[in-house]
Amino acid sequence: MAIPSRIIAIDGLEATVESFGAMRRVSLMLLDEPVGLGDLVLVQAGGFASRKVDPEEGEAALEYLAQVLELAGGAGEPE
Amino acid sequence: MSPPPLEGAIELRLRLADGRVGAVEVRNSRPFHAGRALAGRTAKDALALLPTAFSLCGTAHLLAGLQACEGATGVVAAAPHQAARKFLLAGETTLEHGQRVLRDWPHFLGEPADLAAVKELRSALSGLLGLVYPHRDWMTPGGGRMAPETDKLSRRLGRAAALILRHVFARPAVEAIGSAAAFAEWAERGGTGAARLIARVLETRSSGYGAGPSGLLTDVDAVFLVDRFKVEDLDFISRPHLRGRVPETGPLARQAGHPLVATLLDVHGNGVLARLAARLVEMASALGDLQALLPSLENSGGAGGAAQSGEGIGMVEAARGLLVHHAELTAGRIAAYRILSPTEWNFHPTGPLVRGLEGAEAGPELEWRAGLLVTAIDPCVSCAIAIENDG
Repeated sequence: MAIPSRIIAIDGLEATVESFGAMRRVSLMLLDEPVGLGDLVLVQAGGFASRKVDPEEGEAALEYLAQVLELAGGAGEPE
Repeated sequence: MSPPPLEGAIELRLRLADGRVGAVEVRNSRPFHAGRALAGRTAKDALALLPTAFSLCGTAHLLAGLQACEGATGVVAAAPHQAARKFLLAGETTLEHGQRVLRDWPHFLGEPADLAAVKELRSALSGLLGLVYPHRDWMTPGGGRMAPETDKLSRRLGRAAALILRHVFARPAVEAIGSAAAFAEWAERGGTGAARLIARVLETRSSGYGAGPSGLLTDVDAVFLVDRFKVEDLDFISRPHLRGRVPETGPLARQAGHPLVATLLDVHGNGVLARLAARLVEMASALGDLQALLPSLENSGGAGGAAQSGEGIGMVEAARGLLVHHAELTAGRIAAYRILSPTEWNFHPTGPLVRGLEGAEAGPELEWRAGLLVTAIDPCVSCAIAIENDG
């Protein structure tokens, strides 16, 4: 799965993103369009933002992923 | 230990005994409830989520979901849509394998990832859905309004082919992977990172590392899968099996009959070298499929809706292996939905990775070899490896 994550800080080709309260540093090197604070990006294994997500599409995915996490018993907990 | 990332992760613990890998433990925290959380949505709303929520193999997830929902409602996609789906899947397979080769393989040579090439390959091969279905209605069962932008697609494929030629094979692919002799000569020349990694595997006598009792997932009985989904549900989704067996899915299973891969399997077994070669073979093959399928893309409308209730299964050979979606619809809404991903076969506690590592030589190269084996089998999430010495 890929979690849409919101950009909360940008430092050159790296950004800090947040999703479901979890923060992480990601590389912006693979993106082919500019991004800014507040944009949603998909983050893949390896810590790379892979694409900017349309806000409506991203919010729909976040709402769905929240349900996935709830069914799994809470964010970040292994099954 | 820090909690796994939200998208899940795999942890592998290797316990050493007498200079060998003894027990192998796999912890998989991937989100097995992903299908269940689609319940209550219309088929179209659920299908619209798949390319974003599963962006790593988003096209394969969309196509498996379409097949499942079409099966449930009796909708049949017309021939142009079937051709488009093969085209889109080949594009994703080429991109996924290419990213692995250019971004992850250099790590095993101590070289930096070729991120400029990855970016260029992504720019060529991501977003193909929008160039085939410009009205962005690809999630419509039976197919949306297909209006392929063939000139743009042709230019995209040309860029991808040139990049793979330059950064992966350094010669026409057939001259690198046509035979075991050509493959060895190509590796020895070391013109690209991929060639140098194959040479390193040969030099370090790691070709057969990870070979184990074989078993390839080739023919799968849909009736068996549906039965297991209903009886075992999440237990089957998290730990699938074929009547107790856990075969390997992915490039090795699909390419085992290719002359180069077949020779490497004969000589070295189903270890690292055959698996890396299978990925290169499949990347070249998928790129060829893309170019061959492009002329068959044409404008086409969608199919009309049919039944609102029923069940269907979608089975798609994604880059990492067989991806299965199963949908049960009632009055147009999803009553139950299951997703079985290839990672659950390949990283199963008794699956091909574990079978290949159990009893393998430990030694100073263990971390490098085990990491390379994981990369060669290719999980869809990050995989951490911990080595615990005996005593």
